[in-house]
Amino acid sequence: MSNHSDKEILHLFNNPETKKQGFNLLVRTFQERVYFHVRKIVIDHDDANDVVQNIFLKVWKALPNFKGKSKIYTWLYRISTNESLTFLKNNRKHLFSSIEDITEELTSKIEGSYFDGNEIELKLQKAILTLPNKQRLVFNMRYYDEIKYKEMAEILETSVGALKASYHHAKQKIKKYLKNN
Amino acid sequence: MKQKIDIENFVKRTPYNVPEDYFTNLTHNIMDRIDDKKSSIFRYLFVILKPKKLVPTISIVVILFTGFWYNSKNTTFSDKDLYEILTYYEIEDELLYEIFDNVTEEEIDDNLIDQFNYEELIYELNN
Repeated sequence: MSNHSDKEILHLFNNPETKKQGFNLLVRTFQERVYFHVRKIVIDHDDANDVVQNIFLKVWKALPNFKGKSKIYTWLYRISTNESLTFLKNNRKHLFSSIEDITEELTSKIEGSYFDGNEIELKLQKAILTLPNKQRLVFNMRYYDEIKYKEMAEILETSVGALKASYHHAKQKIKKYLKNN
Repeated sequence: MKQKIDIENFVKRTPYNVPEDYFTNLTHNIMDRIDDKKSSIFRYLFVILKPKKLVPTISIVVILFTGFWYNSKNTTFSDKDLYEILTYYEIEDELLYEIFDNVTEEEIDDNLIDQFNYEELIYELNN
């Protein structure tokens, strides 16, 4: 993780002479975390690559309007989440694809490329993919990224209580899947 | 004895990886794309607006505008105009009277006279 602060990045970005330098610093600081957040949602590496590039192009355009009320990463996380969910919505094969169809499609992509997990990790990923998109998102953010509920509530614009309930349900479903498979 | 599953005891590691030097290349690709974007704002707008997706919207707007424009040019459509149209298409008299039972016979006669004079005038001009 980089030690560059939001203040340093914004200071460089807001100066016309060092704007690109500031943006370069922002990309290098956050690209890895943004990539893995997106990858866990869209699963496929090539899809994640496209989504991440589009996210940073949007950030380049929107950063002058960044008010600084939240951390850059919180703001980036929100953009990344929205972009990834929009990507899934726009790229489903059929207009009325069911959760099972989406799960099947994403599961087929897990082992497709750049997956280095063992058997248990593969099973866990398959279990996670049986969850509805938003529940899967909450589970990944809490379980893998260990984001605090308060920060998650800010990112996903929902209540801490709803997130706790969502995580609890997700864990129960995953346990049930692992037990039966 | 059944084994109790506790996912909190699993090693929390994202099992996805990336090609070698991926993140170095990603930074370059993004920086290249913002340079490209700055130099071609129209191409950017083309991509963002997705003209193909706008075709149905534009078609509807054109149809609505045409309808509005046509109606705005024909705002003085009176009973008399309607009467003339109906007589032009030789609607049966009974039906005509039923529709315009509030139009007096005198008014109808006036219209017939107007039409007569108009035809007479054209006849004179042609000869």
